[in-house]
Amino acid sequence: MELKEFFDAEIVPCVRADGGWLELESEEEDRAVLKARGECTRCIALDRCLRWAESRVRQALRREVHFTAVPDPFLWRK
Amino acid sequence: MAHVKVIRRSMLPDEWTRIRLGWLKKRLIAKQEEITGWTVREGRQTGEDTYAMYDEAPRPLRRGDEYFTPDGTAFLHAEAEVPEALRGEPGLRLMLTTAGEMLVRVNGRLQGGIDPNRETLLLPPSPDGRYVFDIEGYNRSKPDDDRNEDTMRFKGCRQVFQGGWFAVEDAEVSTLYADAALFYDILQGGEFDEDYTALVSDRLYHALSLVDRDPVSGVREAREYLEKELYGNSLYRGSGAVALVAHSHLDIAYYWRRMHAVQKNARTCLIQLELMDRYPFLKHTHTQAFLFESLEKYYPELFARVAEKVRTGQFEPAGGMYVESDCNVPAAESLTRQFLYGQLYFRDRFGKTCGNCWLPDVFGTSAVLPQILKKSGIRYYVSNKMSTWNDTNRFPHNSFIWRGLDGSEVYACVPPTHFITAAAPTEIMRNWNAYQDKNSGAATLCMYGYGDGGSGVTEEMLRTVERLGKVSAMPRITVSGGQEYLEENLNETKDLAVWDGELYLEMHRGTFTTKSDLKQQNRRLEILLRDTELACALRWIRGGEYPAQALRETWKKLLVNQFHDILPGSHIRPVFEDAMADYAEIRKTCRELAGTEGDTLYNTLNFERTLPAFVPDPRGRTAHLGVPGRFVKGVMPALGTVREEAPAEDPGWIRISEMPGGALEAETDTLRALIAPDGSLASLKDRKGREYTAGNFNRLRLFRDVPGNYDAWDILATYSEVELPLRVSGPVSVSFRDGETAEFTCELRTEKSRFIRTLRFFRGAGVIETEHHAEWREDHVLAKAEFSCAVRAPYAQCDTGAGFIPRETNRNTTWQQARFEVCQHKWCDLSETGGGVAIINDGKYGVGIADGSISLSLLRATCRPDLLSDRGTHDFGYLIVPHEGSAQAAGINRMALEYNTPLLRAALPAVRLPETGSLFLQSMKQSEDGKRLILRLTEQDGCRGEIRFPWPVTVTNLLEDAERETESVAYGPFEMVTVALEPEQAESLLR
Repeated sequence: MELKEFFDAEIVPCVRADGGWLELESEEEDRAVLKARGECTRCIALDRCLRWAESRVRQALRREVHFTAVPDPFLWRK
Repeated sequence: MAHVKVIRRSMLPDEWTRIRLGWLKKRLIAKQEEITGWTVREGRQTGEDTYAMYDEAPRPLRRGDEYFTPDGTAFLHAEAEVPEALRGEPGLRLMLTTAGEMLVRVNGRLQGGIDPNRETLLLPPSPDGRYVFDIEGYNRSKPDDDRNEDTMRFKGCRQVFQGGWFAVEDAEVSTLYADAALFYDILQGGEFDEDYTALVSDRLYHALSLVDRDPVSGVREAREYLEKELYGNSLYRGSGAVALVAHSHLDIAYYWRRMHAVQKNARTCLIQLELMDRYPFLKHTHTQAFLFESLEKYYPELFARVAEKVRTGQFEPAGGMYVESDCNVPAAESLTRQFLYGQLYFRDRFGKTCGNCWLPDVFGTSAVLPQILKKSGIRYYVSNKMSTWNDTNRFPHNSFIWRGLDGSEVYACVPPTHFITAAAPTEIMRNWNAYQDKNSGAATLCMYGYGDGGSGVTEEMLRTVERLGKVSAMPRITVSGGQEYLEENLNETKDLAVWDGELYLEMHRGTFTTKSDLKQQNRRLEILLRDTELACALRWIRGGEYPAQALRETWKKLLVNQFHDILPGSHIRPVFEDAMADYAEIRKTCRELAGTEGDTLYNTLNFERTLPAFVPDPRGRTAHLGVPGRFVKGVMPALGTVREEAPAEDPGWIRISEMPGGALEAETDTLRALIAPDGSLASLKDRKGREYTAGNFNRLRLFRDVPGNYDAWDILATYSEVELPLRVSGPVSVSFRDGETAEFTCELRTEKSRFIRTLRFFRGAGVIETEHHAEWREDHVLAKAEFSCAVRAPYAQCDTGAGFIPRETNRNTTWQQARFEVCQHKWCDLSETGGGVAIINDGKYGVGIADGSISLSLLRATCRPDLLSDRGTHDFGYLIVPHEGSAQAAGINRMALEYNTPLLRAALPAVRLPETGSLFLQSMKQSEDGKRLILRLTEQDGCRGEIRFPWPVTVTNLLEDAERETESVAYGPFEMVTVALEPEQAESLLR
């Protein structure tokens, strides 16, 4: 399974159900950039959450990926 | 002279007091010993009591480890023996600091809860000193409503385990802390008399100066000093009377899904039960039959304990509703069912009929409610939002009489402060100071307790309440149940003012429009459920089975989704997905129950139809809202089978001319319209040549819509200041034409979105339908359809679903200015004496009405809490009805019912009801006891009259309790009449 497919199926619904919002924007080798929206933009535990997502990827895909998130607060959207 | 502000660098006495209070707080626990050997197993909840686990087996959990996952459940387990140092200590507790919400079993028994508002739990005695802990933990808490700053730093989907501990409280320090915290609140709150505050400042500073730390000393001296100097002070006398009612408001879905409310509720009930045993004065007021039902189903042991406390009077079922519904958008029959199923549940399980409607968080309330309350055994209404959320005007009453649309009156209480307080002196004093009906003699109501899974009152709050009576400057405090407060303070109270009409909340105006799919589906399903019940009832009268249980369950599914953070659209994405899945199930069930098969078409309305009715048909020549089908004309009698006429073939009934600038003129026997390239009408005249337009009419407009943090909830008054461009990408052209209908279609675009607008004319009908297919991809944009009418109308009429209300069209005062966006149901109308314009919608509830203009809100594109809210494809329509005379003379309400009620594909017996005039048959169903046929009719045009039955019928209230027998049922304007017929009486109505 591709990283994006796994991320969208397994990580995204969980985060959304807690009011957060993560989108996988790009990936290059072992690094992936996420857009953090919703409550994720102001969450103090976001880094821990990303490490958890990495562990889920490791467990399911047997792959090491490092996630970083770029915030996209809702008020900025047009 | 220039002024230089002096920055004070030395400590003020009050700052020292705050710091010393912090010292005390850290010493509330006298001894603590860590419990080791914790394990955790994590997963995700898939149903109310089912989980998909991430871990195959539990893993060790040590202090500093991470636990909890997004949308996750963590199951913690530990087995421990009380350490020697704590053996025999009274008041042994489990201590665990978390921002999560934890339901704790101790030695197999549900013992209590740990959450952001409480970090210890009193343990039961254990003869052998051994304890087994099983914890079910969630990380959910409201993002915008945290009241405990201490746990904020732990908050988030992924938390750090702070360890679990055996702990024993320091009783002396705890007592002093409770005393000092209470006076510190008085000192800081700014609500008390200046001189008294100065006294508290001085005495509290001196008291805490007696305390030292490491080791703690001087505690007893400080307590004695406070006892003498502050509790003992009687120079300052408070005035007023405040009733404290413990309550924990719970959103069934919001930043969590409905399935998660089950555990939130269970924990709240458990915590309150435990506190009741230790604080016998505590009475907890708890609402929503749905929550009791779920407790009964998933936590039967807990439900039995609740039932026992209901019996002793400490736990009070309240509110009467199945869920705390939105009270703007649901139809009158839906609101009725909230009480029918709610009250019948409370009667069945607890032998109680709730006497109040308890809706602290509802976003305003329709004027139809007082009648429904009165006829559901309810005399009191309680809601907080009007007092604390209004953005423009201060609602002028807190205790008053609320008069509804039909003139029904109930006692109403709009407490002056928020429904979540800590019963702190400042909050209570603020409530009394803000209370506007002091001279009525009624005490003011102050609810206390955390909500939304914050699980109600805390031990700290109860310790505060115990002390309030000793503070001379406080108002007179009573601890009360909800109904008890209402009966003692509002019942028969003279001099209460009357508020006549809806309770409009000057806030959350966006919730009439946000998540338009929910509104449209809810409207359709309310009607489908009505028709399904009607079909089932008619078959039952003819000897068939009545699927009572299936219908009841289907209704309940719809009612749950009318909760005030579901139907209004103010929730996270998964809540929307749950609702839409429920709607699909309801639709499927209704189709099965109604037996919709064959070619026979039945008119379920209790009046003859006059408008062409669309029927889906794969062979149909046209389409409506993307569904292929045909428009049926013919004889469509009241509650009878349709005799369809063959459609006319000659398209000459409409004359179409091309006009300069790409406009088209359409002329029929009834209307003459000049259609601009964007689908707006540059002119609309009736056959007498009367012009109905005065500017933008049927014009689609887009506005920047950025209300801020409460994005899904609010629309700002300034929304119209920034209009966004909408380009005509496909000018209007004739897209369909036959002997019955003619359609004109155009396409409009923004950079991201596309609208296809279709204007439909009908042979012989003086209405124009405008249909929209929207591909909506905006962010923060509000789409409106504007109708500037050549009508001088000081009042508009807005349908409430059970009658209409007049709304002023001026902006004279702040009261009218604040109502720039209001709620309507199926129609609104602007009329002068000779005629006017009505707009009939198929699921749009938000509308702005000013001067001669109606602006119908179509779509929003909010980003919080759901970034995908309303994005995607939408199909919706409305009817433009220029008419002579008033809306009532023109039959607008009946047209709106026709437009929204499809013909039912079913072979059913015709029904000959007595003459029902302007009454709408809102419901035909089997009675809840399975013995009689219930007919509920609602007067909708503001008329008075009577229904004459050929035999005596039983008039009932909305709970189907018999009230009287009569052959002639008199009714007044907007009255709901319910009668129960014996089966043989019902049979005689069938033809």
